[in-house]
Amino acid sequence: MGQFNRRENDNTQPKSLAPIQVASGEVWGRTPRNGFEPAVQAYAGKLRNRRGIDFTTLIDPHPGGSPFEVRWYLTATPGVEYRCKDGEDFACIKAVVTNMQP
Amino acid sequence: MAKIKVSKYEPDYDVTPQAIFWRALKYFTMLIREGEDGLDEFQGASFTIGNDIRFDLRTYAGHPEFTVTLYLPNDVDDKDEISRVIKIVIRDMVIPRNAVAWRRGEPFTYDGQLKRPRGDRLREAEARILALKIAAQRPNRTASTQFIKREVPKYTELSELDLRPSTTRPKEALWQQIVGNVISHQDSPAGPFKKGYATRTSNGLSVTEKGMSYLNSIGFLDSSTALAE
Repeated sequence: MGQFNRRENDNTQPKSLAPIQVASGEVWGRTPRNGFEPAVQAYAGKLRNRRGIDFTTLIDPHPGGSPFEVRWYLTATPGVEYRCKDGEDFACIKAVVTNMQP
Repeated sequence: MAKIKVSKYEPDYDVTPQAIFWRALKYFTMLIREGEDGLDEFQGASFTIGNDIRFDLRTYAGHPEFTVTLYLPNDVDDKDEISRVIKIVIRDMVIPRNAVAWRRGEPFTYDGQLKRPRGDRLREAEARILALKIAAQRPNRTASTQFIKREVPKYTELSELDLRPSTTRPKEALWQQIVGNVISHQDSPAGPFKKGYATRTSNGLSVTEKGMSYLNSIGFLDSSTALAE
């Protein structure tokens, strides 16, 4: 099981999102700029002295990651689920999420 | 001479990380922009080499300090092609071999940690170029040895090897001695003075037009900068 994190920021990981991720057990991701399909993006490892979320998941990330960062693509990564909100497509992974921004 | 062009504009392609260098982003270029994507906020720069190689260097807010990740367009997905491009970038940007912390094809774990390559320290060949980069940003492209020594730790993380005491200059560390050698070894064939990249001043060096052209060719300067002043 891998350990990953997302760092709090104003736009893609706002403070208000963490409780939703904890409650749902899901982490979603949009289509990257100039990308061809939605992807969940995260840093590898645990958060260190920063605000955000830590999470673990049984779904292996796409092999195109690096020691610092990973992606789970909607169709190119096995185990990723589809979500749609307000007409926008998202990639979704099931995860155990810990809120590191109390 | 290699010709890397740095772009002011965001890339029109999605990217994949392919290598990590143990240097600050400002080490590679002066043309740094702020950005943000689905991962996080970042500082980055986009480059081209010839007509067929495009790449980005970025440091995301959550990346370890003094690391830069090399990203290639997603459509570069052939192992051999990735390896070829990484080698060209390392060669043409004159990145020291020991500064390469990871590259595609090498094993790694998803723990967010990376060990600094063994033996990575400032050597005279690298210090020559770094001194030019630092001076090129100063008024009249001129900097004192003292100023260059003060700036070097902002570009490369000093290792234990760098911090060892100098054997010839009391009160100095090894890296300071090496930077001093760049300025004081005026007759070194590989040095900036013999190559025409700089002229000696009373207390440091001044970058010449030829030196600016060189820095331009390795992507450090915006191509218009070398012609300015």
